[in-house]
Amino acid sequence: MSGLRHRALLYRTADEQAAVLAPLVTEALDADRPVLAVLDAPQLAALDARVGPGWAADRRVEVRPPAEVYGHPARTLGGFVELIGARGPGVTLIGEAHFGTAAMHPGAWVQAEAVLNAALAGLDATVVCAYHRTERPAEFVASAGRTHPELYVEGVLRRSAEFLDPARFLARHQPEPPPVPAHARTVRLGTPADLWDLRRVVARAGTAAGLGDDLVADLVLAVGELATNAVEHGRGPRTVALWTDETWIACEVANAGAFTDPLRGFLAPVAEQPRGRGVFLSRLLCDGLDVWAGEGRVRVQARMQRAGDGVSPTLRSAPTG
Amino acid sequence: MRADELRGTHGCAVYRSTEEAREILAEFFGAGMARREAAVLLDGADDGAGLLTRLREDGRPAREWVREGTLVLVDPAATRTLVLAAADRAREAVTGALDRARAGGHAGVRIAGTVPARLRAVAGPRLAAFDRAVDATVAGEPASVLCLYDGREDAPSAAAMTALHRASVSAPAVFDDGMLRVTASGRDVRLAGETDLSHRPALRSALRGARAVDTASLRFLDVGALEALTRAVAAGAHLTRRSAAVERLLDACPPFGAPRGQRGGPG
Repeated sequence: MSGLRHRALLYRTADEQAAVLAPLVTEALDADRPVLAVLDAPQLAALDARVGPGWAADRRVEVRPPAEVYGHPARTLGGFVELIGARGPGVTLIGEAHFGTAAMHPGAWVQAEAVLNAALAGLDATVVCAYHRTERPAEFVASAGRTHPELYVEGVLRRSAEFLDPARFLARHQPEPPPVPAHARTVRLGTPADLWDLRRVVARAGTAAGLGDDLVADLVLAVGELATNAVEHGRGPRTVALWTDETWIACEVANAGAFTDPLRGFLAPVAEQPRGRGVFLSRLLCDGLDVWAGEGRVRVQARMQRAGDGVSPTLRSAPTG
Repeated sequence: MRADELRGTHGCAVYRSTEEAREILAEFFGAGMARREAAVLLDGADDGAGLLTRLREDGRPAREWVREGTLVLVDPAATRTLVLAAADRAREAVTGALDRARAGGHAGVRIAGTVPARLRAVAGPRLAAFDRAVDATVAGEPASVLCLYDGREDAPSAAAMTALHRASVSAPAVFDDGMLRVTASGRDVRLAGETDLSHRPALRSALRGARAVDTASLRFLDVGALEALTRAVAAGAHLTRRSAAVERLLDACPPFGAPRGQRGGPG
């Protein structure tokens, strides 16, 4: 059986989860295929009970803590593509989709789940995303059927009737970013020369918001790319709004026109593709990025967290798994 | 002549970009250090930090020079006071710099001053008096003096410059619009400053046929510029030095460089 199998597993208890995962692990190891287990201790223990102790120490098995892997939607997606590519055909990846910093990325995690179908299309891999029915936000659990072609429900695998291909999912599921607050500073982009001034405005604001030099440079680069896109490909008045609140320094680039990449810059453009690197890069560089396109307008909002390391202080100390 | 050829005389240069001024100053002081001369920058344009950066990019130990007192930066306020003071003060300042250089065991002294358009306007005829006093003081001494005038607004006339200085220094560029400066020596190209959407055609044409590309002084580049660099490398150019900005972008752009490993994610 080749091709991508991208499945969601909706569960309530570690044992219910292990009942589904154990046969997958056993089958993979019996066939000498690699297993990547992105699970926490209680889930690993539940699997021990069913697969037999010591399975996680097998040389074909790699275990990673979810808190480490699910840090940032675009980086996690890129990491999955890399890991699965490196492990070769037939890999089984089991991920406890705890989306630890979900509060920082409204909408982006479920978008990343949808894009995974495109990112791994054609690869021979089994990816099972485990969603705890009550501990995860209801929005994530509810969207699992639309972002995964197959679902385990009450332990039984079935095709998902609601599944949407990634481009259609992202067209429908693009939460509108928060409005630009009245106190935002607005810069108009008229000519390419305005990008020079914009870099200085963004750098000063980033420093004033307490970002370190590296994050300031990342933000300047990211906003510069978004503004370059607006000048080069957008229509009508192009504006950049910049503001700071308690948690974020945020920047929204807006213009008239359409956003041509249906996958919203989640995937690295192929080498021959002349456009699309800017949003892809900005998504990786920033702590949060939302693209909203409709009614002839495009808004791209990039955010950097003022605490600086991309993990909110409250979530950092929260229990995981 | 080029700035590193100016020796034992009083010369001038008219610069049209910050990068050009830095390049001229770095050449001027770099040549002096090689001859064990002491150096003073009258930092009228408030870009002493920029000069030190450029010197480091040119492989000079700029911080050490400043720490050991071989290179003295006179801040913008003191520079302005000096230029606006009576000619006697100019003589005293130059004589003092020479005496300190001799006492420190140096073979001579190089003095450079940057004169932004605003200072030139405020100084008026006092600037010419300052220049004459400096010229008279350094005659016959182991001293080299270079005055850099900002030529972007109300450029000083060539006649006025040659009347007050004995040599004219320049640093030709292939391209310089005040943001990006491209200089070339044969097929070896050096990029300085910042490059973005404004420079797509200029950058492509500067890189066409390049053998070596030095980006040590390239302080910002966008993804489009990185693509132009990548194409130049694919066409046979050698990237001799990468600035921090180039490294950052190569690191952040998986299609071009190594995958981004240190930023989290499972990779």
